[in-house]
Amino acid sequence: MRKLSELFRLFLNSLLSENMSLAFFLGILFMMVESGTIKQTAFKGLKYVSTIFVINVLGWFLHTILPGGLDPLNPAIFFITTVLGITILTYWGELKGKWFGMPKFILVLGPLFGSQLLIQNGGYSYAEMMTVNTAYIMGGYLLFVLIAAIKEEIIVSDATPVFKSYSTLLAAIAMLALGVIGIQII
Amino acid sequence: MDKNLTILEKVMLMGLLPLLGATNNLKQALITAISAVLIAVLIKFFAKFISKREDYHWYLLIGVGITLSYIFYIAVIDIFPDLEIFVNIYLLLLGVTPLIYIGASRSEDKFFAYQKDFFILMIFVGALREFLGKGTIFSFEITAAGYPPLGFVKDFPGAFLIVSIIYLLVELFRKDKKSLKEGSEKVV
Repeated sequence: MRKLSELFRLFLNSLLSENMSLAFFLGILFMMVESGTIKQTAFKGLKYVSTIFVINVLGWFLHTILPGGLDPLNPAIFFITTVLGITILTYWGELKGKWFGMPKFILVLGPLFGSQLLIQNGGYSYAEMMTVNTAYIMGGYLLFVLIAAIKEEIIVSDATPVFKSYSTLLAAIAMLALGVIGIQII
Repeated sequence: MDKNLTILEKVMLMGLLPLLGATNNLKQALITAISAVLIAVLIKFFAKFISKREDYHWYLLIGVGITLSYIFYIAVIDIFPDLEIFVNIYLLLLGVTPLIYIGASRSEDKFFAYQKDFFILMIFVGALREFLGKGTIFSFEITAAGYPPLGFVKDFPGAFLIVSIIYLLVELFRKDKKSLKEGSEKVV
C-alpha cells in the first residue's frame, strides 16, 4: 500500500504535469467549443467533471471485476460507460444541437472514454484511482474556467479579427502548459 | 468562433486530439494519420448501410469507430512489433475523434478534402515537432547530436504552440478575408 506522501505526489502529478486535459489533451476541444461566460462555464463545468468522476469510478470497477483474460473487452466496457455519461449530461440539458453536422455529444467522447483508458493504463489500486480521478477533475475544472476567461478576454479585446480565433486560445493554453511544467520543476 | 471556418480550420478542430497527441515524432504521426484516414473511409461506407434513425445511428457509428480503432491498434502492434514504441493511446483514441465521423454527417460533403488536409497536417506537424524538439527526422540526426533547436516542442506545451502557430498562419493566408472579418465580429 502506498504512503500518504506517495499518494500526494500522485495527486500533484495528475493535477499538473500529467493532467488529462493539458498533458493528454482530453477534453480540450470540448472546453474550447463549449465554454461561454465564466458564470455559465463554472456551472457547466461542475456537470462535466462530476460526470467524468462517476464514469471513471464505474469504468474502473467494471474492468477490475473482469477476469484478466477478458482484457480486450475493456474498450467495450468503456464505450458503454461513455454512453451512460452522455445520457447523464443530456439529461442535465447539455450537449444539445449539432456541431459541424454531427451531434454535439461527439465532443465529450474524448474525455469520457480517454480518461477511463488512462486510469486503466495506470493499473491503479482503489485509493490511487480515487486520487488520480479527483486530481483529473480538479485540473479539468480549473482549466475549463480558465479557458472560458481567456476566450471572453479574446472576444472583448480590440485585437484585429485574425487574432480573435482559436489560434490565440491555443497559444494561451500553450503558455499555461509551460507554466505547469515550470511549477513541476520547482 | 465556429463561424466562417475554412476546411483546414475545421480539420484542426475536429482532429485536434491526434494532431496534438500523436505528432511528437514523424513515424507516429504517419501511422496515426494513415489509420485515421482508413477508419474514416470505413465509417463513411458503413454509415450508408445503417438505419436512418438519427438517435441510434450515431451511437452505432461510434461503437464501430471505437472497435475499428482498437483493431488497428492491435494490428499495428502485431504486424510491426518494432514499432510498438511509436504507437500510443492516441491510435486507440481515434475512435473518439470527431473527424473520422465527418463522412456520416449529412451537411458536410467534402469528405476527401477533410481527409487530405488532415493527412498533410499530421505529417507536417509531426515533422516539425520531431525536427525542432529532437533535431531528427524519422530518427535520423539532422542537427548536432544533443542540440535540438527547441527541446520543449516535443512535449505537450510545444504541441499546443505549433498547432496554434499553424492555425494563425491559416487565418492570415485565408482567401476570403471579408468573411473572416464578418465572422470574427460575430464571435460568441
